[in-house]
Amino acid sequence: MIRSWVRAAAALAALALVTTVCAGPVAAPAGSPAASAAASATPKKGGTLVAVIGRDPATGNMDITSDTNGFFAFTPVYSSLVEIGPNGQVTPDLAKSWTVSADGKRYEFKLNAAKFHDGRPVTSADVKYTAEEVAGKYAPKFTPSYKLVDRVEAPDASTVVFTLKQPSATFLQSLAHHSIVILPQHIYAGSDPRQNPQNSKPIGSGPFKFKEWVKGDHITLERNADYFKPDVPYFDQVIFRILPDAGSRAIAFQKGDIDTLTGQLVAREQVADLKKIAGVQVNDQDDPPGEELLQFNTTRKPFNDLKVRTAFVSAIDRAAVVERAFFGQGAELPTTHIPKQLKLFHDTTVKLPTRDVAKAGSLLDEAGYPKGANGIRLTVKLAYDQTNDADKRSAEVVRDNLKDAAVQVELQPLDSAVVAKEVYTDANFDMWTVSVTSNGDPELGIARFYTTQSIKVSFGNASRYSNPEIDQAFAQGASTTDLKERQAAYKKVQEILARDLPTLPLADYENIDFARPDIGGVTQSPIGYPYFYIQRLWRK
Amino acid sequence: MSAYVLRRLLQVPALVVGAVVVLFVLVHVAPGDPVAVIVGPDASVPPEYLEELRHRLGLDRSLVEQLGLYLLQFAKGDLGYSFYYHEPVTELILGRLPATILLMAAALTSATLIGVTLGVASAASSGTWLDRGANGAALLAFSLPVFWLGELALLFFALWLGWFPSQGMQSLRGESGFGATLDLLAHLVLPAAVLATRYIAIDFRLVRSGVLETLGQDYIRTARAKGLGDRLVLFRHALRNALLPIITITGLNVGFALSGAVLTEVVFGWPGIGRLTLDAVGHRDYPVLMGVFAMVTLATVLVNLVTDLLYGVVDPRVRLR
Repeated sequence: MIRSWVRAAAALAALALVTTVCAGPVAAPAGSPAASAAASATPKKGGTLVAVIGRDPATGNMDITSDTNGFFAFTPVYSSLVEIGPNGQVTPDLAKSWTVSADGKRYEFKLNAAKFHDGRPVTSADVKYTAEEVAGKYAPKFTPSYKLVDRVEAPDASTVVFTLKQPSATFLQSLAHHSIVILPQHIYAGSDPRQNPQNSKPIGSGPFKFKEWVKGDHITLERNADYFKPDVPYFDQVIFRILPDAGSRAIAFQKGDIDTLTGQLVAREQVADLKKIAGVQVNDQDDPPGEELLQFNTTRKPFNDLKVRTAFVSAIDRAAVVERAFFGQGAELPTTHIPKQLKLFHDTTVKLPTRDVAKAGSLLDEAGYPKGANGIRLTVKLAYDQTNDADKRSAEVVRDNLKDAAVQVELQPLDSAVVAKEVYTDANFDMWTVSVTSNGDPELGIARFYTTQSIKVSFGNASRYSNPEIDQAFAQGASTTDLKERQAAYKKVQEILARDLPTLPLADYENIDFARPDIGGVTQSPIGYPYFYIQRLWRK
Repeated sequence: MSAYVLRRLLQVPALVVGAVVVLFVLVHVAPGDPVAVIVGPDASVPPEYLEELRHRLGLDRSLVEQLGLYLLQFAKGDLGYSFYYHEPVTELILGRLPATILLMAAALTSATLIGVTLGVASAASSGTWLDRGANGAALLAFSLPVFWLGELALLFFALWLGWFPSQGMQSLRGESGFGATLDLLAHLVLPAAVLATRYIAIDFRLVRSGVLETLGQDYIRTARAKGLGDRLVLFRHALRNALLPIITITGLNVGFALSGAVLTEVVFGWPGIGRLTLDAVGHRDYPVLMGVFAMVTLATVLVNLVTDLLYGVVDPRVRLR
């Protein structure tokens, strides 16, 4: 009696299972060719853009943190004095024009007539306040530039003047979104900007207004109808989904549940699959290059010996890192310490040592590390951030390469929260692999690994390398706007570093961004973190 | 009975405080600096700022001092402020709790219903292909890693078949009324199914062996001899006895599920306690971690009290003393 109905139910269940399994994968939804062809080139207003970030930002105030996810989600809420265009040129944003004095020390900006999202006008007093009391003190990317500033003046409501102590090649760039955004003085003055409750409901003067932040789920922005630039933005609403898992993000993008995916949130092994989506827009050209950097701890054995460092560099196969750690996607073999993609400053005459295992062996013999009875010359540790896949895979390649030179490498995965202390404050490591951005300029992103003043700074000079020639060359490159002088200074830097090898660039990589076929206006900032110019996107 | 209940209830505060103290020490002694996390990477902030932040968060005090202050606060019901979100911990947890409870309830309810049904069916047809197949399937279901199963389910049902949404708790198109409920259910199916899989396997095996064991007893033979039909024998006698371990295991499962089906929530982007905890670990957000641990401890202790009481109700042989 029982058995008959049980059997019937089981048979039905089995049938259902079999049909689902045999149904097989349905082709992923793609933008139809007909629609794309008919899509107009003029941007259409309206609709909602769905983007994604990996975790909740720490705060909505971009001038007190360097949190990447916050950067993606909240930058559209704010304006900065200038903007970095798709070709790396500095273009007006809040400042409609500016002049620089002949001695390169005085920058005078004229402001656009803009309003904050609460209706109050943006004035030079807001710029002065933000630079002096907030960003100049707490914004990790702006504080180094602010050190060069002698004073900030606001002679009238629409004029602000920065006077520097010395000329700087990168000061103008450091006034863009990745570095400092303009806050409303009438809300923040008199409070501690790091504790102000407005930080969870940010108010700026940017193309989008903050609407809501449901922690753990999403952040919603809506169009600023009073934005001071004409025409933009096009979308009515932008929603940032918070999805912590790279696999889920890729699937959501393939399904069309999210419209844009920035390279920083894409695991390298997924790139090939994402490129296969019909009509997908891929952007891997305009990015500020990053480096997969191997840093040697030069304060202790064995890396205080140049011979040992040279030996290690000769044993490592960087082409293998490009292939195995980056899957050959958006990565190139570095030839100097300044990435090729920084075309203005990369020197093609300087060359890093190529792979030569025999030479590595003989150098190690000379340095006093012959093969022991067990066939091993020495054992060293290689630390990396365990949450970063590229670092992990690069470390594995390095370990395998060094085995050929009879060097044993122990991998040391570190938790992100301990990195700052272990690696940068205490220098408690032998070798350390890390992915870093160049920020588009040697002064903004390369100098920090080699100058004496960057020792102990987080994501700075972990090697503790100190060379007055290098310090002087970088200082020169930073303090002049003459391109030829800068190029000469950085050529010298590359020559010295190729000889001293405090670090080894394993790969020069680019982040690869993706947008669905029906999103128009896809362009990208080349400075700092890649992000889509959301204000210029529209749905076709 | 009521003396028993009273005594058990009095034990609750001691248990919770004991757990909180142990967890507090463990969490604070583990390496990692919340201040470094708050400031973020790429930070060239002056060391005075870091010191000041450390002082403001009370991290420059001794461990004993910090523990004492925390317990005082805790006694008043104040779970403190999140280092990372600058929000009261109580609000953060209460904000995420409904999502986790919904997921957990859906998963455990369906797991119990399906597991028990299959367990009974399997025991009733023991030795047949159905029984053997079900056993094999249960073993597989129990062994599959939740994370992998989740990604597979996403790939299969959300991407290839397109039957279900791929992430989150609700679509963002602002549905209202009945549409919103349907939307929520659509989002709930995959994560609940993935989470339930393992519990189905456990319940199935427990019920099956419980029923089989009971069916072999003398009094069952007596009942059949009296002329009672199969269905009555199975459901009134065998199942009721086999349910006892189910009560216990469900009580334990609630504790597990409440601490957040972390992996499921991560894969499906479900905004629950599990993800909050995972993020808090990465951020070294001590107040949030402590708040979640305290809540889970309290819930587990209370639920197990309830299951013990239920046991006393269901099984007259048990005298709760």
